[in-house]
Amino acid sequence: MGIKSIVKTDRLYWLGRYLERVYTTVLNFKTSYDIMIEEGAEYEKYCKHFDIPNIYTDTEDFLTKYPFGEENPDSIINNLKRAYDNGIELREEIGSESLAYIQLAIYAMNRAAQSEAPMMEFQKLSDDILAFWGCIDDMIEDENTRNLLKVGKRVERIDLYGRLHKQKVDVVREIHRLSGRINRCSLHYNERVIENLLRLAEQPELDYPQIVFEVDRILEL
Amino acid sequence: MKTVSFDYHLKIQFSKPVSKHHFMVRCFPSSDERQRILQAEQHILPNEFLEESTDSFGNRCVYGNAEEEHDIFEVRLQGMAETGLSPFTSAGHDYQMGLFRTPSKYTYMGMELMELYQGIPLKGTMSNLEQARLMMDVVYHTLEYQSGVTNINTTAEEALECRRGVCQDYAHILLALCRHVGIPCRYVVGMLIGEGASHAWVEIYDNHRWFGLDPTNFTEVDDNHVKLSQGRDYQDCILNRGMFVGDASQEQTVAVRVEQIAAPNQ
Amino acid sequence: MLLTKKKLFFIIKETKESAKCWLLFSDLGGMSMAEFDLYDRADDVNELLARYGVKLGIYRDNTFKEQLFPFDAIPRIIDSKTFDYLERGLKQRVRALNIFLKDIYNDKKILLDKVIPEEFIYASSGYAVQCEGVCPPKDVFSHISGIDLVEGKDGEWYILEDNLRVPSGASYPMIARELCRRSSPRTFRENHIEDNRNYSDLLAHALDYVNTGGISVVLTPGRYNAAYFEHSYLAERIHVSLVEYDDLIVENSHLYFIDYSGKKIQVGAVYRRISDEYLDCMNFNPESVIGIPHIFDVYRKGNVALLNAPGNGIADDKGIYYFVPRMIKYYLDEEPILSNAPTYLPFYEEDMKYTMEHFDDLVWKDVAEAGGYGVQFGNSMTKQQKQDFIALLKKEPRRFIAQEVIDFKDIDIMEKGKSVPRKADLRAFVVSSEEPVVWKSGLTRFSRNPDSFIVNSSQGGGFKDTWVLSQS
Repeated sequence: MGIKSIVKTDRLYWLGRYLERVYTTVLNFKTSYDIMIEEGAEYEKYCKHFDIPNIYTDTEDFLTKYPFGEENPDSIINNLKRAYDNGIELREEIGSESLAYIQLAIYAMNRAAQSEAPMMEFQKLSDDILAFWGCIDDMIEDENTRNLLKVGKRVERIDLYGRLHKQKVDVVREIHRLSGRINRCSLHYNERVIENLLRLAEQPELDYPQIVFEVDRILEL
Repeated sequence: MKTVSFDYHLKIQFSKPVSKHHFMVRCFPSSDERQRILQAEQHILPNEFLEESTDSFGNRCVYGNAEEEHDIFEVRLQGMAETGLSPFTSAGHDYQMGLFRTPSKYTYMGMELMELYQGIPLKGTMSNLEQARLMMDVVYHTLEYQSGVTNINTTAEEALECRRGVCQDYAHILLALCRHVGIPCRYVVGMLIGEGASHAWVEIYDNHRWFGLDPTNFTEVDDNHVKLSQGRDYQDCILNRGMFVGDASQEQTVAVRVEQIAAPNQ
Repeated sequence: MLLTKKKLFFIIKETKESAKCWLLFSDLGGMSMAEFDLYDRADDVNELLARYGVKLGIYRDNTFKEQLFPFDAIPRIIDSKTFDYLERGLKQRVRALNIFLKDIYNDKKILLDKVIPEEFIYASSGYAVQCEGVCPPKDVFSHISGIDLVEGKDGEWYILEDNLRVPSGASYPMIARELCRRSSPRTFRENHIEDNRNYSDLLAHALDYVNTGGISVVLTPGRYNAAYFEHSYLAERIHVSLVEYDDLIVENSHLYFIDYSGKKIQVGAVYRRISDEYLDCMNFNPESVIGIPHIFDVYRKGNVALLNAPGNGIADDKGIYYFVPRMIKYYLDEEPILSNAPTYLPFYEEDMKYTMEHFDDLVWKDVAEAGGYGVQFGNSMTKQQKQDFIALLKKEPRRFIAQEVIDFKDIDIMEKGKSVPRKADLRAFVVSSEEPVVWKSGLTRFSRNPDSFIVNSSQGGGFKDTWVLSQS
C-alpha cells in the first residue's frame, strides 16, 4: 500500500512495543510464578525489578492482579489489550492473517485468567506472539510497515532489558539491532538518542538507568 | 431605480485564539434582472485558503480553512449596485417549483397558522401575487415587530403564537401561508437602505416570475433592497457556518450600511 | 404479538447502518442436508471466524462491546435458474433506482409527469436539498445496493426494502466462504457453487470506475462502529487505505490524504461508511465532528467520487418503496420482474378505502420512523389504539403505508445437533459501475429465537452463507 498516515505509523510502532512488553513480561513472570508457588515475598522483588508500583497486598493478590487485573494499568492483560487496540485498527496494513495471532493471544489470555494453571495458557500466548512476528516477516511486503513494528519491538526490549539489568551482551545486541533499522522506516525519531545509546553500549560497565532514560525519549524531537 | 453603495461587515470575536477554523460564508450578491452589481470587493480574514462554490439555490459561497491561531474572523463586502431595475426576476426552471411549494422545517402549518389562514378572504380568481399580497397584509397587521422575543430557531408557528417577531419571522409566516395554498415561494436574505443589519423577505412565484414582498415593512421589494441569497427558509440562507478547535466563546456582530449615491435617472 | 403458525409478518428492524432484518426460508435446492460434510465442521468454521475477529460492535447500556457474529453452516441455496431470475429483477430495479436518483435531483420528470406526488419527495427525510443539481462522476448514485428479499411459500420472491445509503454485510459471507472451503474442501469439490470471493474485485472496480484522479480510500467512523470489522476487512481485500476523518483534508477544491511526512496525496474516490448526516459539517449536520469539512463542495465540483452518493436516502425511503414498480415502468418501459410486498398508500383514496376495510389484516408502518419503531399490526391494536391510529391516519395519510402479511418459507439452522426451522432474510448486493452486477451470493441472516421475526444480532441471531449453484 505504501501510503501511511501519521496515526497508522504511530500505531505500528506501539503495536510492536506492546507485543514485546507482553512477551518479555510473560517470560519473566513465568520464572517468578514458579518461585512464588512456594515462596511468598518474591513479588516485592519482582515489582522493584520491573520498576512498577507495588500495589499488591500479598502473593495471592499479585498473582491475580498483576497478570489479569482489569483496573491495574501495569497488568499484562492491559498491555495486551493496548496491543490489540492498536492491532485492530491495522488490519489492512498488517493483514488479517497477522492480526489473527493478536486475537488468538487475547483468547489465550482470557483462558489463562480462568485457569488453575495459567502458565499453560501463557505458553500459547507466547507462541501466538512469536507466530505473529513470523507472519509479519513472511507476509508483509512493505518494508516500512515491517520496520515500524520491529523498531517498536527493539525500543521496548532495550527499555525492559535496561530495567531488568540484563546481561551486557543482550542489551548491546538490541541497541545495534535498533540502530540498524530505525533509519529505514518513516518514524520521526530523535537521532541523538541513537548516538547516545551506541556510546553507552561501548562502556565497559553498562549504565542501565541512563540507557532506560535515553531510550524512553526516542520519539522526543 | 437607484444606485446604492453597500457595506456588509461580519465580525466574530473569539474570547481565546482558535485554530483549524473551517467556515462557509454565504453573503455575496449576484446580478440579476432586478439588481446589477457594479462593483464588489470582498475581504475575508484569515484567508489562508479560500475557495468559491455555488449551492443548490444558486447562491455564491466562499468556504475555507484557517489552520493558524486567530481570535478574529471577519468578512467584509463593499460595493455598488443599481437596484430596482425590474419589479421581478424571471423564474428559471419550472421543475424546481415543487421544492418551494412544500412546507419546510420553519414553515409547517400548526393550529395557529391554520386559524390565521382561515380568516383570510382569499378568492379562487386571485393570482398568486394577489393572494400573497393579501396574506402579507394580514401578517403585517397580526404581528408586532419586536426583537429579542424570537430567535433564529423560532418557526413560523411559534412566532405566530407570540404575535411578535423580527423580519425572519414575518417572512416565515408569509411563506407558510403561501405554501399552504400551493404558491411556490422562497426566503430571501438581503440588505435594505437604512437598516443596520441583514434583512429577510419573501419572493412569490407568479406566472414564471418571482416577485419580492417585504412583509416586515408591508411593501413590495423595490430599489431599497439588495438581495444576497435565497432558499426555502432561514436554514438555506445561513450567512456563516463555522467549526473550529479552541475553548473559546464567540461574539458575532453584523453591521450593514446601504446608501443611495445617485438620484434615480429621470 | 399475535401470530398464526401459517402467517409471518413483516417487521423491520433497522440499525444505524440500516442493516435490516427480514425473514425468509428456502429449501435446499433439491440437495439433502446429509450430503454436506460441512455441517460436521460448523464448529471449525466458527473457531476460524473467532480467530479472524469476525465481530459486530454493539452498544449495550452505553458501553461498546464486540461480539462474534454466529455462523450457521446450513447455507441458503439458490439454484441457477432462480438466480438468473433474481439477477434480472435486481438489475432492473437498481437501474431504475439510479435513474430515479439522477432525475429527482435534476430534471424531476417523474414529478412533472405526476407519477410520484411531489410531497413524497420534498417532505421526506431522505431528500437532501444539498444534492439539487449535482451529478456524481459517471452518473452512478448507488454503487453498492443492498436489496432485502424474502421468498414466499408460493415460491414467489418479494422485495422488502432497498438499501442505497451505506448497506453493510457483504464481508460476512465473503470470509465465511473462505473459511468453509478451508474446513470442508469436499463440500466444494462435490457441489457446483459459484465462487463469491470476487466481491472485492467488484468493489475495487466500482471505485476505479468513478475515481476522479488520485487514490481510493475507505472512510470509517472508527473502530467503535458496529461494522468496523467490515470496513477494515474490505479495505484489506481491495488494497486501499482505511482512513478516518482526520486523515483527509480539503484544499483548493480537492480532497487530500495526509501521509506521515505531511505530504498531501490527492484522493479520487471515497468508499465512505458514514452517513450523509455526518459527512460534512459545512453542508450537512453542523454538529458533526467525524466528517470532513467541505468534502461535499469538492464532490459537487466533480473532483471526488463518493460511494454511495449523498442524497440516496430519497430512493430507499419507506414511502418511495411503493413507487419503485412504477419507476421501472416509467423509466425503463418494462414490467417489474420482482414484486414488492403488496403495499397500500392511504394517501390515495382507493387505498384508504381498501386499508380501512382490511385494517386488521395489514401491518402499518410510519414512513418517518426507523429502527423498528412505528410498525404496528392491525390485529394487535386495542379498540382505543385503533381509533387513535385511524384519526392520525386521516389527518396525515402521507405518513403511513400498509402492507399485506406474507406467508413465507423457513430456513433450517443447526441447533444442538438438530436442524430446526427459523426465519431468515436475504440481502442481495448489487455493485454498479458500467452496469449493475449482482453478486453471486448474499447475506442471509436468521433469528435464533423461534418466535421472533426480528433477525437481529443483538438478540443472538446469526448469519449463513448464500450459495448460488452454477449451471454445470
